[in-house]
Amino acid sequence: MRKKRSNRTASTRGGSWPTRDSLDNFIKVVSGVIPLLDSIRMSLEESTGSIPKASQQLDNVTKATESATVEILDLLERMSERVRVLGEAMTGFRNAAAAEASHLQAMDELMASLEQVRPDIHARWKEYRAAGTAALIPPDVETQFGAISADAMSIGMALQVQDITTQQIAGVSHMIESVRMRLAEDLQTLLDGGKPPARGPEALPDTGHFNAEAEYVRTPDRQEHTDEIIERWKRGHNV
Amino acid sequence: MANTKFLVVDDSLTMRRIVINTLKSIGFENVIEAADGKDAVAKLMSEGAEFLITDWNMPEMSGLDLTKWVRGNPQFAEIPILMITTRGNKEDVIEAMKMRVNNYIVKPFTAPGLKEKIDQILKAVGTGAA
Repeated sequence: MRKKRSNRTASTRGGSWPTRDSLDNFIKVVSGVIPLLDSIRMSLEESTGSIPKASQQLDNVTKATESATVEILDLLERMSERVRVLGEAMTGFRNAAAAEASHLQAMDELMASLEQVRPDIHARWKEYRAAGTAALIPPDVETQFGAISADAMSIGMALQVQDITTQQIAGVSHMIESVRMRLAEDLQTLLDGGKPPARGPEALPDTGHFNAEAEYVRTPDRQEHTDEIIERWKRGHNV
Repeated sequence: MANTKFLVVDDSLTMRRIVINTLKSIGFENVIEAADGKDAVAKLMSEGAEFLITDWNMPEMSGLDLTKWVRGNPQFAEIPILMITTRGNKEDVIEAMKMRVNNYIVKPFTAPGLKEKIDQILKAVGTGAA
């Protein structure tokens, strides 16, 4: 008769072998983990494949916004130039009208003398003078042109947002690339069955080409704060 | 002073255009540009300049490294330098001042703000102050 296999643990027998039950459980766990690990491996592979595409798309966004921004700046320059030309023409017209005034006054006197002799000509002259084309120019038209130029300038200045968002996007790309590198390392470790390498929070060194903390803040206090720092520094260094 | 030759350095084409347009709007027409510090060094050597406006974060050579190069080169050491950058931390400002930039503007800048800084610098340079 075959002796029944002892179910005592290795420690009770004085040895180090696990029981059959615990071995069966272990095998079950490992069997369940392997498909999970395989799924993780596939996810990591997909992620490391998608991330470069995401970075490239962000880069495309930056290029597209820069191109559009430069186009807008071109249009603003042309607009400002046209407004300047119109403003000069208007000023020229006013000056010419003022110079013409003395001649018109002389003509008024001449036409007055024709009132009895040629009333038709006199009447026509009066109509012409009543029209007063120079008076049709709004008195503040030069101010309006100046305001248009100022607004065009303001639009141009606001486009600094493109540079700032480009730097923010570069920061995001950098972060994405860091994650991709770490995922790639983890994937390789998983495939090699080895221990993950010890590392700090940043896998990718900062290139210094961008400021990920760039902000689009239009209030004056930021520059005022900077000016205070400079003043204090200059005083402290007798500059 | 209106004929002062400016060199505008920024890796962003948009920013170079905005700075140059602003300079022209406040009366400074004589402007050349460079896309990074290394390009700026080449332009200084080949075309010269009398006033440098530079960004900080740039590829090839940062604005800070450019400033260091300029201050270390006897031919250009006294050129006024105005830094225009998104970096507004106290440590950054002080680091730039230690490198002997003449003044510092945080982006986004305004046209009156730029004019004020340039006028201050030109006045100080004219009187021999920094």
